[in-house]
Amino acid sequence: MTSKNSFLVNLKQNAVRRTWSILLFAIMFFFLLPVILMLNFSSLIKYADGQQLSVQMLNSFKDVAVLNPFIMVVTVIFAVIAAIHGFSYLYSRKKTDMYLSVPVSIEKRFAVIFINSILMYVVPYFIFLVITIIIAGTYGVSDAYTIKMAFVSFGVNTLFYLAVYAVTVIAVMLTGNLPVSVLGAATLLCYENGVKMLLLSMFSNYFKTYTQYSDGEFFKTWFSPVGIFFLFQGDFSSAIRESQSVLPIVQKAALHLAVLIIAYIVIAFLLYKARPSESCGKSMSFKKSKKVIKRFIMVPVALVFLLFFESASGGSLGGAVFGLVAGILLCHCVMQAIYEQDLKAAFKDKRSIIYTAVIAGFIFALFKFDITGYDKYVPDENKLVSGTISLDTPFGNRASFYDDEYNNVTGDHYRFSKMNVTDKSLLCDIAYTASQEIDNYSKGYSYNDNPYTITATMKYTLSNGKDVYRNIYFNYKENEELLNRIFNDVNFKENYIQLFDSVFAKYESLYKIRYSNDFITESLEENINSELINAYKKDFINMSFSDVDNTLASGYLEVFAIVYNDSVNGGSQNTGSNDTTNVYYEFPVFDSFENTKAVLAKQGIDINAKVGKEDILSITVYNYIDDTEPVEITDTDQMEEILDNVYARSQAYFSAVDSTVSNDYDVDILIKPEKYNGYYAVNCGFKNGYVPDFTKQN
Amino acid sequence: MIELIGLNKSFDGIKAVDNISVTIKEGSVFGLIGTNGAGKSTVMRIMTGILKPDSGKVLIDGENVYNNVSAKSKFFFISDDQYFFATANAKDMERYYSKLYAGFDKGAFYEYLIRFGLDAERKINTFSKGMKRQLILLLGICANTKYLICDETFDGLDPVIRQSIKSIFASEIEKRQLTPIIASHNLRELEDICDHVGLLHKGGVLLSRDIEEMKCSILKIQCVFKNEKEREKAESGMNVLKDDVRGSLHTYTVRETQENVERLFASLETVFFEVLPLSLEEIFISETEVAGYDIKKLIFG
Repeated sequence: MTSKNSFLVNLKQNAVRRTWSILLFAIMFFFLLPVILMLNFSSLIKYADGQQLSVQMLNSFKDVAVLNPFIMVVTVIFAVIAAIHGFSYLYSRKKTDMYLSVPVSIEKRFAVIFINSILMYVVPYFIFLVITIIIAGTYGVSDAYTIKMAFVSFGVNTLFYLAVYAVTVIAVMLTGNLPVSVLGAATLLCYENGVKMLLLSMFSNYFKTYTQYSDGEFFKTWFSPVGIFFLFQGDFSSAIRESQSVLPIVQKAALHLAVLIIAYIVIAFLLYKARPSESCGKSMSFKKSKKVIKRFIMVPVALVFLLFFESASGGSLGGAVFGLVAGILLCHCVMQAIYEQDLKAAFKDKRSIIYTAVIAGFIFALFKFDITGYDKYVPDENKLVSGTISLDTPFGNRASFYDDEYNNVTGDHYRFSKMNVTDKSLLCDIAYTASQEIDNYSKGYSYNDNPYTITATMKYTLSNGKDVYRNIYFNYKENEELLNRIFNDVNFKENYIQLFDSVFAKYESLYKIRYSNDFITESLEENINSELINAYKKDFINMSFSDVDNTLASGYLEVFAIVYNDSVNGGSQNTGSNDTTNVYYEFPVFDSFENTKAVLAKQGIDINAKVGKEDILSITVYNYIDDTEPVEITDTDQMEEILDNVYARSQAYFSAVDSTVSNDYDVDILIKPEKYNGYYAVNCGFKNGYVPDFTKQN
Repeated sequence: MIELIGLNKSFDGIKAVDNISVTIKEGSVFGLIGTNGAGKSTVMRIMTGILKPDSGKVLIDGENVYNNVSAKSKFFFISDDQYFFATANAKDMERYYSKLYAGFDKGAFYEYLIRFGLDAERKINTFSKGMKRQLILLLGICANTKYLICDETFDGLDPVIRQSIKSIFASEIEKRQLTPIIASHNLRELEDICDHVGLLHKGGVLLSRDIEEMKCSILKIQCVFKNEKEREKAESGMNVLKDDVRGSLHTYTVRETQENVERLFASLETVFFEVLPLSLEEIFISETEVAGYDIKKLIFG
């Protein structure tokens, strides 16, 4: 017969046996919460600016009680300690004999250790958190929001602790001694993210069309509590710093962690039940799991070695094979020695070397030789819903984009969120064209591969809700018709640059607009903003790719404003803080933009105007072909000839230009100081084919 | 009653227990004998539900012992290397066990501690090996379980303590039908304490007999016959296990009752005849030799 209150007795006995862990946890929380807060406060009181003191103290309280990075670190360490120490009796035959022979059910023993593991973290954390809040309160810097967030943080940290704890318990159940358990816990906690990083490297190494946007769902963390918590912590701290609602972030992370905790605890308990007690002291508890675990570790390690040696050997297949073999052998020997606890056993189980080599080699071949046809992906038109074409050329690289909160974002991000091209045949034709030309490109497109290359990042939205991303390359000289079809698509056009959306329109009245071609820069009157923008929109919508192919822009419109993020009156007035965004756009103006030209002409602006020869102080020509000394030209006639045959470099930024420009020479035109109230130089290039003889002679 | 039914257990492909079936009756002292590596500890650990057998089962009063709290509450197991909590003293261990075993007799425990000169407040990690064994034996006896399973527990105890423990066993057997099950590699350790002995060798049971029964059924006879004819008559009338001849002196080991032997020899003409008592050791030698084993090598090295 067993005593009915034996659960509490067991709980107490278990706690007694874990005294040092409990003390360690309590001491750490004492230092990480009230002690750090007191140190911070005393430092702030001593050195901080009087007016900002209470704000800084509140921030310090927030940092200690809510966003304490040390707590995150110790939570992982504590969870590992609690799990290993709690079940450490399984490592000792002496202890196992005692605990397993007494009349205590396996369920009760597991529950006792589990509950104690929770209490030893939760109790000191809670007590010292409350003390920390009281201390902050006595200084008058605690507010309801921060206190609430401190307890939210406490709750999520506890869930994180439990998830790491459960993973470590699984590691303990699978292993039979302390060092292997620690290795096992580290492996289980990092495995998912490690393998995903490896795959990420392989995708980006071997696939020419791979883009980081493919990461999305695939590289989300699903099983690793550490990965989940890192992501949560990033979102949570941003929300807290901006005093935003954390509810959705917390709910999402808490739910995810709770599901993992339940799943992992069930697995851990089942393993605990099944674990043979004779495994104490051995490396692995379950004979059947040995080979599976070994394979799951050896294959990624072999691939990491493969990548390293392939890269070190300049991408040679020999280097890759050497890396694969070295990785397999090294990992096999280490794991065998650990498994058998005998160095002499390092070369046993040679069959697993062969199996691993086959699996790792197959995975390598999948990537290296693109067996799945990843780079030649063409979506099935029937399964395609819509897509995004994020083109770099003709002027995608120069465009600026802002999100709804006026944060600067990349063109790809902007277009992926806004552009929704529904011409499926166009999208498939682009994909097909790129797939036919992919073999012409080496990994990581370079200008030398093909100077007429257009690059784009595609997003294909499929009917199953999945988004497929690819970088594509194709020759724009041979595919002008396709590019004209792209530029005829209104949805593409309206989202290619940020001109047509509500974000651009929001501060239209605040914008200051200038026209510049580098030689001249003219500010425009604000009352023509609307007229000019509308004219530009018309020209841009009517623009075809052919209009800008091989054509230099005449100049560009600079549209800019300073927006106060905490503003009143539509962002025009500052309310005290310095939180501002400098909004800045550049829109190219081509000779074919008749409507824009007309509005600018009304302001007296000739878009092709340059400075006169009389305004030029000197011209310096840099010859990169012969790498000779720069030539300085001061002769007026020579300067005039040069002036007629150069373009400002900025003009080429906006076009799909090639033969019209040359990068073999640089021409710096120095304008006389009296023209622009100071020295001013325009960086130019010779129009292709033109190189004045006098510069060659010199 | 503890029943071991067809137990098998292997470790890394090495057979540690090979189809063992033994029945241990209540109210007797059962000795499990075997050399190092014979499988005694493995059998004990299977018997106490620590190890799961590969096949077969252990029933304690009809209940399967593995993962069964009710069955486990009926015995107290003392392993060959008993674990005590770090920094614990005898009192701490009493507190722990008294909560696990409802019938734990605290009064008796503290009385025994005084009787054996063990300090209840002294840390166990300062105890000698023998003192630790005494302590765990006392804890086991006071747990008041039906069965007390001891793995090599008596080895190394001094004779005085052994005698004291034996007398406690005897009184507990009489008082509450305690059934001690004692494993040892040394036959002499168990000779004076066990009622029934099981001999393990290479994971299997070589024999399992009541000691009294064995003592009564195997006899040693020394005699000198008047002539060859009388010798032939004697040998044909007994189940002779062994015959040592030195000159005309015959020393027989026979499987017979003393009554039968005396009746036989009364009808024979002998110069000298005597029935000698057999030690447990000699009985074992005889029994195992019959089974084809050289027990001297097995048990006495």
